[in-house]
Amino acid sequence: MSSAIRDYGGVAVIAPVTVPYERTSEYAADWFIGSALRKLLDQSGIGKQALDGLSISSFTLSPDSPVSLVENFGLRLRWLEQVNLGGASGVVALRKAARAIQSGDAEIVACIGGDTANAQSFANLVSDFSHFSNSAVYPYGAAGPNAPFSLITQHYMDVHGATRADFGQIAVSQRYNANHYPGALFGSKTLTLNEYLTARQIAGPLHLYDCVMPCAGADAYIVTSVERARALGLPFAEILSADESYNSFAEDAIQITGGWWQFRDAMYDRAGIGPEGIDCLQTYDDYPVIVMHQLEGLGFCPAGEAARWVNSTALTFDGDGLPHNTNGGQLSVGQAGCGFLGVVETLKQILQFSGANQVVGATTGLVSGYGMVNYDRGLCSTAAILRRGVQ
Amino acid sequence: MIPVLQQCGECRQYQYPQRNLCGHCLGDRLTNVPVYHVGELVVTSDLNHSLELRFTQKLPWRIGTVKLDCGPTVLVHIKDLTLCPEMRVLVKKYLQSDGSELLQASRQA
Repeated sequence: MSSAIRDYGGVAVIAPVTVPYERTSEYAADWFIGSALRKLLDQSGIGKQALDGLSISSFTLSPDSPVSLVENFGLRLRWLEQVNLGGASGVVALRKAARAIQSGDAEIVACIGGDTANAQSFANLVSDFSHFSNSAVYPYGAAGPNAPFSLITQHYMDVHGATRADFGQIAVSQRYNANHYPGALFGSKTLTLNEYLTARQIAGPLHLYDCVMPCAGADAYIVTSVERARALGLPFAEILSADESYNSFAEDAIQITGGWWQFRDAMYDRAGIGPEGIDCLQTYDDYPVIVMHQLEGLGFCPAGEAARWVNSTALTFDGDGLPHNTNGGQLSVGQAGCGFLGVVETLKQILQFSGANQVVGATTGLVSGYGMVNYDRGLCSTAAILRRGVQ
Repeated sequence: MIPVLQQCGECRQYQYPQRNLCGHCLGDRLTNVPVYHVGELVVTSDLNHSLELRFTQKLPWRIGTVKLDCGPTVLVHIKDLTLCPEMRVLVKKYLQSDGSELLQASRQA
């Protein structure tokens, strides 16, 4: 079925921007989203009046909706989208906007993931996340996502023999990358494996540095035509292939992988490359075990082998392995904006926009998304392969 | 206490968590069936952090995943700290001091 997916020919992705993350903010989500929009327009040179499409992802926009923002920001649009799929939203927004460009429904779409954060925003979110979670998860300790992910992590350790030190390889390498990315909230703090191992226990095998920190911030990009990107003289990326999957492997008693297995072979076929052709990888790292699921599900190592693989493969941006979560990922940058972090970091890397953490010679990147623990597992799995286009 | 699981009056499937339609056939003839359920304990974890004060004084607080023989997977509280993954367990319901009801796994007799 997936082999019939049309390609994304003619679509260009430009202007990856970030509104710097903050631990908390007195501003509402509209400030971060609107500031991202201004950066998009500044970087691309596109006038506000030329924008005709907008895609918004946010956990903290309520009670506003995307159309509230259209009025708020003085826009006139003919295409408007809201993608509420948590950590899968960045890739899903990309796919939807690309189709809008191909169909002619829009010519220039700004895709923005942005959130605010304050003392109450996270507690409010997890205490009323979904009907299933409200009735069958939250009452069991009120631990938020740490509860189901501690079970998923422990089960992975029980079955595959993974250790905390294996998960630590992911967290420590990402912190090294963050130490070279000024926008990371933990960018000025180093992290050793010993510090990772001796950190405060949160839930079962999860300790402090296994858990992302919710924060405020925004990431964004513009989707338009290759023709327009060339006319603007802007570096652009093309979408070689992308896909998504929901509620895969629902029969498993606990999550042992995600939906990437469902589409990865067809996705690589359409892209014309395999995992070996990827110069940098951005996975959704709400917890290190989910990174391992993605490494396996996306074919970078066999099933159940990720714990060994991360010990034999350099994950730093300047190593000789596979540069992974090259700005530090959510574990070191912070969690805001519904999975846009990985898409924007991929674009920055392959367009050579990165600074000290630039992967030398990167032209092709893979970004994967994951999200929405409605009950006991993440339901969304996404991925996209992007390559720098020829100007 | 005897726990209650939803069963579909059409396809007879059990489901959890509670919902308004059957997740298998989408029928709405759902009944709440009070019955002790048995299953396999899949994994356990001790919570050391909670967002609510009512739990913080009880930490660490053990939870677990149980795959019931009748189909659904349930999240449970575990008081019996001798329970281990792969053990057969009985899932009961108990009343907390604040009046809320939780599922709890115990050793199968």
